[in-house]
Amino acid sequence: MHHHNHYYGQAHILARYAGLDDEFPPRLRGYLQHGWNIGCGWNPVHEFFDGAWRYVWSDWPRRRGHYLGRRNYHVVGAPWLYLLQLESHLGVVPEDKREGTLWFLFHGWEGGKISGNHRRLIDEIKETERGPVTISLYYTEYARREIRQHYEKAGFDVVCFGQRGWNYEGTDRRFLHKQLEAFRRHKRVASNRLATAIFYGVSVGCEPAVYGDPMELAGENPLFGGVQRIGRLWPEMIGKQIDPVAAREITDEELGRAWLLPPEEMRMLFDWRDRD
Amino acid sequence: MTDIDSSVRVVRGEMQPWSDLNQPGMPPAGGPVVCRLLSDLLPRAGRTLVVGPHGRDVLDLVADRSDHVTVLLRSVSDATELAAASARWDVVAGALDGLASTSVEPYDAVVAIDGLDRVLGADSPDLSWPERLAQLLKHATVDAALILGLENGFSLTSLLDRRGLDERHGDNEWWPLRDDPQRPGSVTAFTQAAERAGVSGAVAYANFGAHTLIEVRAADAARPGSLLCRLGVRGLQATAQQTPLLAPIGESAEAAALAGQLGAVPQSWLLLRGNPTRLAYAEGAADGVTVAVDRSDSGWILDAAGRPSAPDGLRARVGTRTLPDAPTAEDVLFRLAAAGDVPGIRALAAELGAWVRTRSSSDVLCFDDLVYDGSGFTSGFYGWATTEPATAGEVLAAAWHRWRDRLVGGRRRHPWPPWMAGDELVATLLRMSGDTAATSTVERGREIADAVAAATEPIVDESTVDVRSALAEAEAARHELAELQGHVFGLERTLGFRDKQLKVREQRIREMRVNVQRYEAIRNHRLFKYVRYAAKIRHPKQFARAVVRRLRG
Repeated sequence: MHHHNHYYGQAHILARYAGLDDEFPPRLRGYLQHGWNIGCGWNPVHEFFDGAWRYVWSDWPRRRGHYLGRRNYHVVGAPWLYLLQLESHLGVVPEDKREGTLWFLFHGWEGGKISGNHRRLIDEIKETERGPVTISLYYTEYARREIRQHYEKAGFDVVCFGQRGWNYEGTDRRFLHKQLEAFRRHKRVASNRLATAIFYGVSVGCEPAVYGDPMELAGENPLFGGVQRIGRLWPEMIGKQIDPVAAREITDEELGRAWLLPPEEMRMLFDWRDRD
Repeated sequence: MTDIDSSVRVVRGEMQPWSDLNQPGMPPAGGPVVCRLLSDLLPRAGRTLVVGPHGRDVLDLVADRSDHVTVLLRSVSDATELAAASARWDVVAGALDGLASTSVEPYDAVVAIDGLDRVLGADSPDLSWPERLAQLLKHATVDAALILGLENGFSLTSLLDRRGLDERHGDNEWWPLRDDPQRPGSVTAFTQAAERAGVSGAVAYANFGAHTLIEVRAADAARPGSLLCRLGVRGLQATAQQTPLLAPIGESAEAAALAGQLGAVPQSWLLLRGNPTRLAYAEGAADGVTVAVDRSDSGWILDAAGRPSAPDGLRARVGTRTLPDAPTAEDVLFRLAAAGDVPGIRALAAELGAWVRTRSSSDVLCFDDLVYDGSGFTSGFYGWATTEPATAGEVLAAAWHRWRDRLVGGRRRHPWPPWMAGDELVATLLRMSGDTAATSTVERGREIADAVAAATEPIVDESTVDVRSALAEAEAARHELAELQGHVFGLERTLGFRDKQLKVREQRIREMRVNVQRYEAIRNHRLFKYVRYAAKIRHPKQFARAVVRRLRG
């Protein structure tokens, strides 16, 4: 199994959903999409072994992959949605007790740092958000003191949900669980780019917002069209006040709610059958 | 590509990375034949919209006829390239649904020859064919000139495609377009769907792979051997070269024509509304030449135009000529050969020979382009001539070589044994035409025929040889093997008989040798010696006297 499948403990969630060991999830025959994506489900230069199957969240990456000459796609829905089924009570608070905004800064990764005007972004956040703001930094930004301090000094609560892991090491299996708990106590989810976290937040009832400097990511490959294309394809998801009904519909599409599998079908699909 | 060239306007649904220009078997719509049709069809227009991938030749022609041209392409890279190539058109990158969501002044002419299958992006909704047509027509004035293409799922190339469904369509089809139940499946359904969408008074053309365009009713009326049928079959054969097939497409196309269905089996159809057009358009035999066909009381009017590009040794003529509505000499000869009617072939060959000797000899003769109305011959639209002078015998030899090649290559029935089906047959036929069939004449004929074939026939791609031909070749190989085994058996039998013959002769020799030995034994006996000596006595009386003297002595 490719080590990306372990990112954020997604393989662990699926193994648990399928009724298997989620501490050491079985090998998954193929590649599991690990984040929302405007292309084929992976970054433009991702390597694939011949004959690999690609398990994606929704039908859109399958279509885009098809025109890139790739086949062997199967849409399975986002592991996040399976987690929601498994943890229907985790962190739930009464609706009227939910408050504030969980604000995700567009993040870099192990191979590329972000750069942008944090000061201006903070001003815009303060100007926009009415309640308390929790800033979520990915561990790559959280570890950069100069970035973290911007937000701490602004008086925001700054959190980090952990590491996604690398080569099966350091994976925080509770990464998405912690995020789920946080979403369920916040009223809004916001980010400076339309990204996975926005869809996750909308899926558990958060009001979405996408605004502010989208910032630059070092080495970002614009092969699929970049930020401008996001604006053309999902204009309803950009802004400080977004129609929640439209947001919910788009979120269901992008996370592949209609494509979720029953456990026994998942075991067959991932070749997780018991052969003893 | 985040920063798309500012000369390209981008609407929702653009695709990147992607190009429609290099999809296998799906070139952008265009080519000289389509352009010749367009040049008849398109009126002078104020604003023209071109939707989908089209060749630069089409765009240039449209730009010549319009004050303002907008080209919609879903591929960002194609759009960028086109915008950079010329300022004669505005280029929009995106999907048809993306363009439809923007406010645009209606166009006087809409060109969508490529059809409506390459106008949506992967991020577009799965619009049915009528929905896409409605999106297209939103941009047209009520009486706009229109040319719209539709792929034919019932085409012979599709029916005979040997690939499985999962391999038949390329990267283009992330959504199975042909599963759309509202997609027109016939030319009638196509016309009716367009009428429902508000396009009335349109004329449909059968599009044989952009090689030949025939008005559908004329195509349906075409029967095997007729000019339009030949043009349609040529078009299908030329374009089917890229498709791996189950069977040769020409046979099936002629069967469709016999059933009055030639208009039902082309690769696609074009629906036109605009200025009047001719009955058919086709590529000429030479590159760069197109032929427009119309009907007259005396037959077909062929108008060959363009700048011909001919291979070494040949030149091509263009111009207008009238052709009787009659079968070709090739067809007549094929039928005679299939019936084993050698006297009939002999008579027609003699007639051909006599006719050829009355005409300019540098014109190349192709029986498949020579109409025979029972009383005389008329050359068709190929228009080949040799650059070097050729005698009537050489021209005839070339024609017979070509006819032989097509007879044998087409696996047609004929009465000649395989060992005679090469140059010997050509020489035989040439003699039937009244020529002495000298070796040099036959060889020169071969050269001319090869030059014509190289310029006229599609290049054979071995990877797409149809299954029937492959099986026929395997069967022919098995047949040849069986015949060769029979031949070996026959030779062995002959050897066996010869062996027995040798044994008999050996036996006789042995017997003779015994007899000789016996004779030798007799010859060597003492008494025989004496007798032999005695036989040598020349003067017996003298000898007797000498013996008596000795005895007395």
